[in-house]
Amino acid sequence: MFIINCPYCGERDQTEFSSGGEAHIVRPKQPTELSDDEWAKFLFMRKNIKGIQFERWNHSHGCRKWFNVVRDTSNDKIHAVYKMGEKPPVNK
Amino acid sequence: MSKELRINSNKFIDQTTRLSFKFNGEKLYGYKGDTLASALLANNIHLVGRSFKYHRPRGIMTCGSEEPNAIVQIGNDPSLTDPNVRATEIELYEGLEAFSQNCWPNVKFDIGGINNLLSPLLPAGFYYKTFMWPASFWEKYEFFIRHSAGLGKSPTKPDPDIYDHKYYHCDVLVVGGGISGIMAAKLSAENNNETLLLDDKNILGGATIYQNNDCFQIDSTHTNYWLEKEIKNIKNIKNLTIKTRTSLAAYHGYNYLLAKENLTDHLSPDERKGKIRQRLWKIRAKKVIIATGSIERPLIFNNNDRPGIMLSSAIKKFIDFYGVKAGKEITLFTNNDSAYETAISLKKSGVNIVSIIDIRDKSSSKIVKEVEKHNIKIYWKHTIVNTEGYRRISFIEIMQLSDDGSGVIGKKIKLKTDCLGISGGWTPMVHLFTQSGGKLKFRSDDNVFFTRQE
Repeated sequence: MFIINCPYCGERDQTEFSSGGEAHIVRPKQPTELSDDEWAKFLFMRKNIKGIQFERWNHSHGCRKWFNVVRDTSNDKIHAVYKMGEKPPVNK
Repeated sequence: MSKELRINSNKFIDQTTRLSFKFNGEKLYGYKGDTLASALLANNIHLVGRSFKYHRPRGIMTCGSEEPNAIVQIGNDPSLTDPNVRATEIELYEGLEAFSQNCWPNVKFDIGGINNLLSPLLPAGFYYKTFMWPASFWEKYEFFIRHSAGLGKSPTKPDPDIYDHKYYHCDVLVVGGGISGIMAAKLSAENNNETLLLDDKNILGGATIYQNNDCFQIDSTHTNYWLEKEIKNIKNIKNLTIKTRTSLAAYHGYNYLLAKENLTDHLSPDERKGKIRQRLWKIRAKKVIIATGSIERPLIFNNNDRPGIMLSSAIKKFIDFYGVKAGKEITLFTNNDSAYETAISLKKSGVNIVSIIDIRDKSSSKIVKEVEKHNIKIYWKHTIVNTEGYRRISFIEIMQLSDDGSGVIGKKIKLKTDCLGISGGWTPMVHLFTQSGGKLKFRSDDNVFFTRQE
């Protein structure tokens, strides 16, 4: 159980948050023009990285805001936290 | 209670308060401060249970949370009964009722003991391989297999007790209230850190609090008196919270730890009413200091599982802390100097030591010289080859080791004994450290796995 430094509230226990999966997935501009394969790829295909991963988290039992987290999935170390729409502070 | 197995003038046991308890229906007596294990030993009871498969007799082996053998069922109320409790961990209270597990009709005469005689026919995997065929017979086998599976009986009615949980945040958490834990907690609290000190026993001090051997001194005082003063002092430090009867159970990521505090398990049933039984502590600490000490290792020889065979450090704690003699004629078997501490404690309390059997050629340490002064027979370079005694050890057979240590030579010597202390060196309790993700490294100078610094 790790601690997440919410950019709006500060350090809180993991139990207050819910994970929103991989971050920085861009929605296609014209979904209707995509093949079924390409649409499925956007909807379902996610990287399952062992190491540094960019994730979205929601402070669901707090301010209820969404933000991004850079987390090492092998040891749960959180390298950075930044707001939605901001550029990642570390290189992707 | 057998008076001859008790020594007087012991400050940890209140010999003015006698408590009655029942073991397998027999009414026995102990004192306030005893554990169930020490009270049983004071009543000359070593045989406590039966092993799982072969139903071999099992006795008390250690004196702490590492106890593998002496596990009992507490109480027989259908909603309050507690299976698989270590006799070394349960504090004695008025009206305690305990029962042996895994034996029928009783622990002294167990029908299941027949498995021990049949053991050559019951190899590992016997049940899996035998009860597979014919498939239609499974329902017939199942009745017997279910009957012999598991240890102890679960309660059949809902638990009426009240339980609590609590979140706690601190700068430093110190796990273990022995000498190093106490000193670490003191330093940490004096440097303005909010500190929590946990220990699973009812008093602080670990193994040092009863160490009154002349060879162990700090500032020219015996270490037990020195530590007693320190404990008195730390109770006045304002940043320091001390919790006893609290055992740490888990070490999760980001220093999130779980501990269980026992609040009423040491009280008599009348005193428990309306009180919280246990409290789960959810601790988030900035730093964690693990000061959990070491446990003694056993030694390997034929039939080393008989009741009456104990760790030498356990015999020392029973005599020095509980004031209980684990036997009337004690033998010690060792490969290091620790057993000699036990020998001195026993000699001081007037227990007869048959002999000390040492695997080594010799030792020139101060403590061994001290023992030699007491005229105790030491068999250097000898080893135990076998033991006798079904419900309690009665004889041991020893032989001399060959020069390269790979075999035995000479004649067998048979010695009569009613309690054997074994000491195979010490293993640091690194469980919490590895649970937190720490790695271990073998340290060859004292043959232990120890923490590896990244």
